Amino acid sequence: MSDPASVNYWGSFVFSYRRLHAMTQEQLADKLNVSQQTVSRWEAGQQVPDPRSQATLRAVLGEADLASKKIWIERVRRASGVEALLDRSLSFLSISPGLAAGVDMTAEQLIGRPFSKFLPSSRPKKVEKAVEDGFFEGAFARLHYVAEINYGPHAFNVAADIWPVATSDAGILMHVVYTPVTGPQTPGLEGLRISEFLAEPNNFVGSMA
Amino acid sequence: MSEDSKWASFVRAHRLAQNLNQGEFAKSFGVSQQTVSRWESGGQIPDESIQDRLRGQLRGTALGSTAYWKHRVEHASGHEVLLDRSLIVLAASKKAVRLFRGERASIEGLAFPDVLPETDVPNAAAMGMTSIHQLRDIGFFDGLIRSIRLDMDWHVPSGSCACKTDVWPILTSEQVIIGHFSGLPAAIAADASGFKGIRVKQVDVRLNKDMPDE
Repeated sequence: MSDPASVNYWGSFVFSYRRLHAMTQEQLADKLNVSQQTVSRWEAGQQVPDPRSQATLRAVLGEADLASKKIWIERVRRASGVEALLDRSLSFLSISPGLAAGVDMTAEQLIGRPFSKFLPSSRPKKVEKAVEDGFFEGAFARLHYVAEINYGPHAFNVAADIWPVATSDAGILMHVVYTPVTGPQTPGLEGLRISEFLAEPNNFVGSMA
Repeated sequence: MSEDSKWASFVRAHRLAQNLNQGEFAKSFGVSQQTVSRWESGGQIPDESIQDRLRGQLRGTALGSTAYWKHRVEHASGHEVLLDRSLIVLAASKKAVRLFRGERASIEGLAFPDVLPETDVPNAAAMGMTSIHQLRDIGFFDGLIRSIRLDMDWHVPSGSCACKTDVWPILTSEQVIIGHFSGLPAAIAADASGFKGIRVKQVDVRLNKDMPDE
């Protein structure tokens, strides 16, 4: 369904872009991996660019692709809560200020370093198993655990939600979100105790999986 | 259905869902257009690595879908709400539902402005965005906004607590933007039921302009 305003917008933008870069319709078509006729239809307002071409055009306009890895890194870095973003090697891509404060470290100390080095032991093993079982290939809809944590001067209970995030340019990333919860406080506990762990399979995939 | 025709219809559906012709699709897999044509006619099954990539793409698309985001927000441990561009609630976490409506209710399908309690925005002139309805006007659902942060006080039966709420634009694999609200009350005791009011102290709206890393 074409909204007249949006057809005009893409049409005039595509035309201006070509002029600015001294490109023929064939050259732009090649750059965007579409046919020259498609570019012609965009400019005439007969057709709105497909999502992939819109994405390329958006990049040219200077608007970030909101589904990109870069935006997810920024999102977690600015999050108000306690969050982390990890890649398939389980190294930190990004952490929120709340997480850094919670482990008494800075982002510089954590980014690029493996998850397991800085946080208490038993949790990474279950998460690592999920990675082996295909977390980054989309095998799971979420991982979840509840834990009691004693880390230096900090003692708290958290619910951890671990989400696969599908980026437009870097496959699946791991988004960890911690929510404080009420729970038991075991005197003398060192490290982390998980009281429940669940790995929910991804049933959102189509029948071909 | 035979193995051949299963892949044939799958490749075709997947290609059309991305709005690509056979040549464009072939290019993205590093094969010839004739190969794609054979896949789609059932004359040839894609080889293992192509099959893996196709499955991977489909999983990625599924995990970026509105349906998955609804599932994610429903199962979130904190206070989270998902809205569509008409400000209808697509999904809400358990804690959010309890806060807005109590234990056994649901707010899915309701207009979010109707679900919100009395909201006080004392410094309206300075804040720019003063009402949830303005989300659409500022282009939040059109990709013009990078992020919104709200500093507020939540008034619940047991008292008040400070709360930060992040509002994120999520670009789904259907190429639609939905709004993801994630509220972080300072006190755990805001496991509360019965929202009495909101006082907005600060609104930060960031535009979506591709900037160098800050």
